Amino acid sequence: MKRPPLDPELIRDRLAVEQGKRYWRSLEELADDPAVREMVEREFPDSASQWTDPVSRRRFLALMGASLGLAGLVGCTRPTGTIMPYVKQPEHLTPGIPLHFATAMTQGGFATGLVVESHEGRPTKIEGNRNHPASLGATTVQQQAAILGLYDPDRSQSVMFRDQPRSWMSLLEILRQRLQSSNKGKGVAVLCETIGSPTLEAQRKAFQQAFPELRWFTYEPINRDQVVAAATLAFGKPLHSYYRLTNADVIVSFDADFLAQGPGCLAYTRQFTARRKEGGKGVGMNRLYVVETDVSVTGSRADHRLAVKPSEVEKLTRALAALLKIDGVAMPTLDDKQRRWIEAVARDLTQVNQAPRPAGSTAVLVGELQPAKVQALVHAINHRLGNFGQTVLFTEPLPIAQPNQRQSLEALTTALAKNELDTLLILGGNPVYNAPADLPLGERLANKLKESKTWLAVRVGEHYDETSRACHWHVPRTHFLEEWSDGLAYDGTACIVQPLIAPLYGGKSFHELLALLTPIGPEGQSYDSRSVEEIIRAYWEQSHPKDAKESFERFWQRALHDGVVRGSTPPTLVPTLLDGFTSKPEMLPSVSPESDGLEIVFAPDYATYDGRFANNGWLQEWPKPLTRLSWDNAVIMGPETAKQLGLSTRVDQWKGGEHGSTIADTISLTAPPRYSLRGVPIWIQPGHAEGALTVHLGYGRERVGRVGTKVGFNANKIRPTSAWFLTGVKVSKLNQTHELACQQAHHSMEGRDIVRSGKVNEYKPPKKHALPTLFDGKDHPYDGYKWAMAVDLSACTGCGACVVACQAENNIPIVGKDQVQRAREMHWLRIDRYYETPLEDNNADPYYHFQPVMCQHCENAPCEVVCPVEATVHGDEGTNDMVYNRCVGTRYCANNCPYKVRRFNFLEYADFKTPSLKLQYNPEVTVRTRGVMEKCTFCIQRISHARIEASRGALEGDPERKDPHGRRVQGKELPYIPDESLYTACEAACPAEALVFGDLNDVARKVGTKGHPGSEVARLRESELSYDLLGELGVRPRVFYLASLRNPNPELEGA
Amino acid sequence: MAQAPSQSELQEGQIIAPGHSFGTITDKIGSIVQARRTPKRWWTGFLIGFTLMMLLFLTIGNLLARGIGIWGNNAPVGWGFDIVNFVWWIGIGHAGTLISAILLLLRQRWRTSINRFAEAMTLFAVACAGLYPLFHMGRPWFFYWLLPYPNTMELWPQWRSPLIWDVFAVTTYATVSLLFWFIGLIPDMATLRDRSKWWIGRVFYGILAMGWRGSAVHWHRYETAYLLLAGLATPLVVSVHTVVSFDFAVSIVPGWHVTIFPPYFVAGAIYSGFAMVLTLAIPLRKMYKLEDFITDTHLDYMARIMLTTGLMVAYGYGIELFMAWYSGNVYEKGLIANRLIGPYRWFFYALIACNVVAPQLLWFKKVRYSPWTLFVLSLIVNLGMWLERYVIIVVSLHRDYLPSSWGMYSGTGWDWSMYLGTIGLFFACLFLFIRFLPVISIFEMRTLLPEAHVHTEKEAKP
Repeated sequence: MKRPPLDPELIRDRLAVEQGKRYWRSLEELADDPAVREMVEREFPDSASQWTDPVSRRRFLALMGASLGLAGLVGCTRPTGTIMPYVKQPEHLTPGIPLHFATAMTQGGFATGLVVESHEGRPTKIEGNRNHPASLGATTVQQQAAILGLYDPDRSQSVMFRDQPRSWMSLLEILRQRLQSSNKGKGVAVLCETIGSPTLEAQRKAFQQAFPELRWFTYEPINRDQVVAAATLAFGKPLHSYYRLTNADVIVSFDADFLAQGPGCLAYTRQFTARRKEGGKGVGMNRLYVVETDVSVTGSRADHRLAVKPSEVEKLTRALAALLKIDGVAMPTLDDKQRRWIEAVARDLTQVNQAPRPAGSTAVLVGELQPAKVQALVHAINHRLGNFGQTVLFTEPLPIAQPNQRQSLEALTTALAKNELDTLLILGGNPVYNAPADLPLGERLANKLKESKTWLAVRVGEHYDETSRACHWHVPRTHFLEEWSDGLAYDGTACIVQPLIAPLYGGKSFHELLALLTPIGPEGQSYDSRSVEEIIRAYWEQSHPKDAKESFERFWQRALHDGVVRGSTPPTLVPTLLDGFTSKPEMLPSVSPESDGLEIVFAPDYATYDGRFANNGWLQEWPKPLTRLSWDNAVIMGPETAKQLGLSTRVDQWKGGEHGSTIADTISLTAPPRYSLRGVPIWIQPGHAEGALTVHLGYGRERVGRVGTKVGFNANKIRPTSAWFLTGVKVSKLNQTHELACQQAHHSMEGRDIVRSGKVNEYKPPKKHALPTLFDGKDHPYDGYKWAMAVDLSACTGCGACVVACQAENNIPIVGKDQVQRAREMHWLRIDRYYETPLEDNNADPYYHFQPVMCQHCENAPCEVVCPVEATVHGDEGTNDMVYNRCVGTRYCANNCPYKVRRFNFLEYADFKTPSLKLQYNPEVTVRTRGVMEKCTFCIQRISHARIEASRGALEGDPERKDPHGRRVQGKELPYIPDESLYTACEAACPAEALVFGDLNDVARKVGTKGHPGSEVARLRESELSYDLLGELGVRPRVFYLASLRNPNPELEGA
Repeated sequence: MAQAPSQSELQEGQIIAPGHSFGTITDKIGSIVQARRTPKRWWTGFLIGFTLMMLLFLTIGNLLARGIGIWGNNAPVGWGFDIVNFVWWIGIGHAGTLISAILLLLRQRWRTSINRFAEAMTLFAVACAGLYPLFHMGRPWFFYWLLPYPNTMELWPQWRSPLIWDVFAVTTYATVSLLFWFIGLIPDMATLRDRSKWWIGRVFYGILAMGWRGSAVHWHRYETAYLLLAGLATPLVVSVHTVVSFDFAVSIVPGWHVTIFPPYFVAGAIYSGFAMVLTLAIPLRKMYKLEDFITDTHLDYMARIMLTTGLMVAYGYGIELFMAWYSGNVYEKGLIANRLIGPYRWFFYALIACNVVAPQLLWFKKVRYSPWTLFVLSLIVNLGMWLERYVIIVVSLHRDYLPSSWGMYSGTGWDWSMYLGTIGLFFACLFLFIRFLPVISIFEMRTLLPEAHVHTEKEAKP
């Protein structure tokens, strides 16, 4: 019998999740496991026979021994090295009390600071780091979901040579030999994803110094080639730029989805929405113009949105430049609508109330994937508007080389074709999957693998994927929560990435690999034996000024604790434009494409980005903001285009219908010169530019894992190297259809009072009046805490981070595409999306409304009265509580819920089996079995936690915990819980701060001589914008909404 | 039991064919049970029912193993086939008690020849109905949490929930119906015991006869008990379906929150109950040549009740539409619009055709006296009543307040197998009943004969 290899992870996993009575039973099971038996056998060969003896003293002792030995295994999960707990630093770890550590996640070369909750050494939840400029406490969807990526059971788990597991040392020996035997690295190449870590950059330099002939290539499909090129065009060097939108009264975006994509999106959302809430709260509401093709999250928030074909973005940018009288820019030909629109924008940018608009009070943003000349033009526009140093900030180039990745990949493909290389090390990325269609990288690698005897290809990656398959060796890569590293934020601020857990699957980080391959010492015969932590630390120590007041040790501790390297933000500068750069040949207008065929634009996906998150179930099931599609990508087009092509989608009546399943026509796409995609589904998006198509990357993975393999189609197959859009695309309808999982195919509010919206200054809220009641009984007084949540619809961008944050916090399972199609998704919090046709103009772009809906915690909850077993009951602080273990699953509560927020476990959705996924579960939240109803709890575990903390504080005599209202509950003084000490998961994740949770009884009042500001939610409840969703039902929800306000330009209104 | 036959009744038509004597009645009914050979047609019917019953067990097994998810229920439509079929079966179960209790108290002597199997039908229908609330639960093994029993959790059911009322209404109804049926069977059990030529029969029926000897005291006690139970059962006829309708009326779902539901549901239940009695009686009297006892006059009377209750139900539909418009409530109006022009509109139109249009034929005497037309009509009404429940439950749920959550529902194969399975259970039980128990009350049929009324004057006033 072949014994399976002993898997300490598995044992550790088993031990980590088994508690109480089951512990002993499973230990027996464990001890009987052949793997464990083998381990013991090896240790004590004589006593092996004892295991067959049913009961003996020796067996008892062996069991005791096994339990001790295995206890040690549990201990190994702790990360090695010193890491600093964030915020709460108990003397030692208290079981049951989570610790929080600052770290950072890097995506596309830029880091966002995070704080990760860790329960006894296992990270369970990611939050934003309030100290970090790119996070400000918020997170993106992908950052929220990254925790699941850590525990992904499909991550590769050992060093592999082809299909055989091998040891890491053997590979290392081979690589070192290759490098040493080569002539200074000649013939050796590295293909790395975008580097974001300054230390890694330094290591790369050292590595290349040791092997000067070694060639280093960089590639990621979504890169900053054009940003760098534009800065070089405009300023002569690749200055780094970012925005500060706080003081921008008018914002124009040329295809920049700055609210949902890119390294600064969280900060930009915070700055942007601060000026949207409650009509701009005194400083006035900003106004957003967006020019784009597909409806992006940013576009959906625009006061005026102009849908144009991808090739026309340049024209409109040029038109704005021309209207602003920028030298050397001629007015392009525009149609009437575009001309009127851009003229109004130009006027709005330069004038306010017939007077000139002050300089620096506007911002023009441009998409990072737009051609360099467009981006350079926008620099010129911002310069003309005086925005440099005000809303558009510049710093010296960041300390990381930014090679042109497109050229880099081209060079690699050429080098492969010319047989210039014999060794290739691929670090991260997934170039075989996501290289553009005209670079036959995968083919070349496969040929090399087949034909060349001397060829050696090594891949370091999280999954054994398409690229790994094209290489000899595969090395598991650490997840960012398993490694030491560092990174730079969108504004250049540095931060340290600390590990939360030792590598689950023995992964190796790039730092480790480069250190082990870079020879040091005079003869270059020894290698760096430091740990990665020491390497990172050494990098920062060497740049730490020796004469600094603060010792390095203290500096380092603080950097780890805060998650931000203090004082590392590079100073901003006001650059000067190169004279007359606008008339350079590179700046000449592009030849407008022939009208033949459609245009197609490529975009990173909101969920899977460039495909790296394809195996993340939370992201796959997360409905995309506008389309509300999950588990698929589609060719997105406008209604007119679909009509002309004879394409349609229809609701699948046999499954969940409009709440789950849509049947879409499929098409075959042919793009010049010879690329095609067959059998791809379409999606009709109101507001999408006509005559153009949008496809998202990140799908159609050939090999990644059980979640992401063969989901959707791979848009890279028709993506050219040259640009982010293509013209002359031909579409032909196929006879097959494709079932899409769309969680909301009903777009209209049916004239119901659901999302209230209006123009700022003109919005008149309907009169509030008390609902007549026949009930003469006494209401519960709610004189203690009174939890409530405000949802500001003016601020909500629909980005959806809250949905995944809720999923992570509350152990919400994913159900898979089929169940989503059957309308059984489990999200406790959903973001409803509605389209509204403007009254003034039927043909205008619709208004896009987002409305996060979670359990409304009705004071008069209709679900509670109908439950036959009292499984859903009311807490005396006003929460509607769900008692899972009392629920028998009649589903009556869900039927009677007017908000339809209750979710039922129709099947066994929770994963009770996969060991690694069990580690992810939040131990404070029950994992629900089948047959049980569940729903939003207002994060009751966090409320309890805050209540306990407050009580403890009050007992210790903390004056902060003294209730300013002097409330008493059952004769006891109520400890005060301020807003800052309690955030629900959704609220914490929201970059717009659109969700505000707190104590409704904590109203502003005078306390002694000082004023007590009260809770934000109590203040918002009094706003005239606040309203109850379906308030007329008399259910008295505790969640209330603030009407959505727009700030349209009167000049463009009613057009 | 013996009452004076009212003159008017006798003129309506004959409720027992002339020429029968006590002996012939006993022979005719008793022979169905005591025939040595089981007819082939019985075997065919029973095996079909039995096979479908096995399908039911398969479905339930799968349901317990995998969960409610094998059905089509989803997020907006939490109740689908499960509750549709529950209400449908419970409705069918209504005719039995109405016939046995209310018609008894109203001294409708024609009930005599149909009450026995109508009651049996009630029991089996209630059994089928009872399966649904049990197995529609996510965790059916905790069904007893719906019962008030002392427990260490110190928890009781939640008395405000109509589902708890349901538990009591349905179990009470099932208990009283069973008792009523069994007490009515006792004298006939004694007859069969005495006629049995085989010892097994004598023991079997002997035990069930509970020592009945037909003494005057026995008859006196029997009559009192039967009358009391009839009095007890009478409010149940109204209460069960009223409580079932509360499952909907008490909620706030548009289309459910309707005050007319209790009377409208009761009328609908009687409607479907009589339809089912007709569906069963017409083939039964043909199969066992019972036209002497279940005369065309019986069919006529039942058809009249169907027509009456059908009109009540039609009134209910009308009022629902009118009130939705009259209320001016946007959600109610939305609901009605969805019923009339939404994706399930054909269900609604089919329901109107089945329940409102088709029964209008019953105005014609010719139709009422044509058994096979009645049979077809009764099937149509049964279908119509199923559609009615589908329209009320599914079509109201699938589009309620927030359009974002609107969805569609359709039963899966397992929904259908459960439904067919309960039909199988119903017929399997019914065929067993036909074979082993007298389908028509022997002793009550005897009282219809003129010779039973010799001492009418005295006995009428006990």
